[in-house]
Amino acid sequence: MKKITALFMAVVLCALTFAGCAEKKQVTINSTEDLNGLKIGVQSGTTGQTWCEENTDSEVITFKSGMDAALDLKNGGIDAVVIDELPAQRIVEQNDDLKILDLRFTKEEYAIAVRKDDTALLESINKTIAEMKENGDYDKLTGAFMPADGNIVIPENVAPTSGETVKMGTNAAFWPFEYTEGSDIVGFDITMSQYIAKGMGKQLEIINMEFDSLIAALQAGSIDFIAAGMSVTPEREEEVAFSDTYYASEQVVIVRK
Amino acid sequence: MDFFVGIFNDFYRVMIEGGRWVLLLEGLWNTIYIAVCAVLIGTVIGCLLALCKISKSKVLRAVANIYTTIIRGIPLATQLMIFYFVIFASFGMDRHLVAIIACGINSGAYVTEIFRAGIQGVDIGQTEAGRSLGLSRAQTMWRIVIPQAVKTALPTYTSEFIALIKETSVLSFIAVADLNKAGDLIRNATYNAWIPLITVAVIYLLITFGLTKLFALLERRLARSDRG
Repeated sequence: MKKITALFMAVVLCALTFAGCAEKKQVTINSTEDLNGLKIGVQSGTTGQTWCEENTDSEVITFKSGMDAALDLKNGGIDAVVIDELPAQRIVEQNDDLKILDLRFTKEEYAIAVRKDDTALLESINKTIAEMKENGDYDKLTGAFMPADGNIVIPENVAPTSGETVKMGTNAAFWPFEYTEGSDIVGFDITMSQYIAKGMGKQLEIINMEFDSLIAALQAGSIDFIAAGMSVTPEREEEVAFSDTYYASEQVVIVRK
Repeated sequence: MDFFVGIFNDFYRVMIEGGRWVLLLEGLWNTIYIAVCAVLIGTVIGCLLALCKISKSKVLRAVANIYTTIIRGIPLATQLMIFYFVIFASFGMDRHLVAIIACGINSGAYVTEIFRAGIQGVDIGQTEAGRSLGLSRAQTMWRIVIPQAVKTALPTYTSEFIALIKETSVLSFIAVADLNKAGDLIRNATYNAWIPLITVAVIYLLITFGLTKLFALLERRLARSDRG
């Protein structure tokens, strides 16, 4: 019996040693063509995923969050991560062994999504966004979450705290637009949604879910609008209605140093 | 009629167009081969640890107990992520291999208990009879107890295999494209939720139903030697 156990342990150890020999490939990427043939990690359902699938001949591996993809990149499971600029900066700040490439390929713009038939809500959201841009609240918001000195100051909740609720769906793994601070979900989109809720005279309920479930949840009516750093794309516009855009972003590539 | 035409058109747009059904096939293949490999590993671990559990050595019994307590006390999704992002992180191991190992180790704990219960369910008189006929402890175990234990353990063992196939749906936590994930990918590409989800559900159901039937046949065959 002991012999069998010992033998089994030996086999497992051998297997581990061989597996350990797998090397972390050093990749050089100067153009989008260099992404061909690589294993690229993306967050499931993002424009990064769509872009990689349409424009590169690579193996696209989808993760639940950008951070999971970054973790796998560090461990050598994938060769690169394609993700939006600001979350990428955060990831690189926290991981010394990762860097962002100078390569830029797609410009995109974030907007808030509502159901196509929900024109009243859409108008209300557009009105709030326009007002915020006009009266300086928008600049205050960018100043709070994208400060030059790097010190984020989370604004107070501006939405009413009682009465009817409006449900906002998001995926709190997308710094600085939505992330968790202690036990609270905070971020640029969250505060903006509070302004939207205030404009409607309702209190805001935040529902945190997987990014790739947001549109289905919206269509099913379990949320009223999506504020999740969601870029406007023609494919998405077939399913939902987008508000005026509120932030311009780019996709970037993260690799190991 | 229009209703069915509508469904068919939706189905065509979501599944056939752009060859998206290939994703489902790939996902199905991943699900099946990971589950089969995991069940093989689980069976080996289960056999060894079930013997440890009934052995006279305190150390072996303690090892087996610790193993089953830890593994059965932690959800598979959590274990899977610990294996991939912590334990095997520095090895740069293939995610499918990690998935097989994690599922195998997880299944091993359940199979251990199933086998142990099977062996202990055999009447002690059988062992006593074997021993008094002059068979050694090992011979008694191998020739008398285990064949009977297999028969009693088979139904629960097969349901463990079926449970494992369903459990592999958490593999997307480490970005393995299993059947469930394939449904997600199609949902993301088409923004249609119900067709991919229902299709995936039906495929899972067909697999588990087919296996249930298959194992029922096997049980019936084994029962043939029972006294009526």
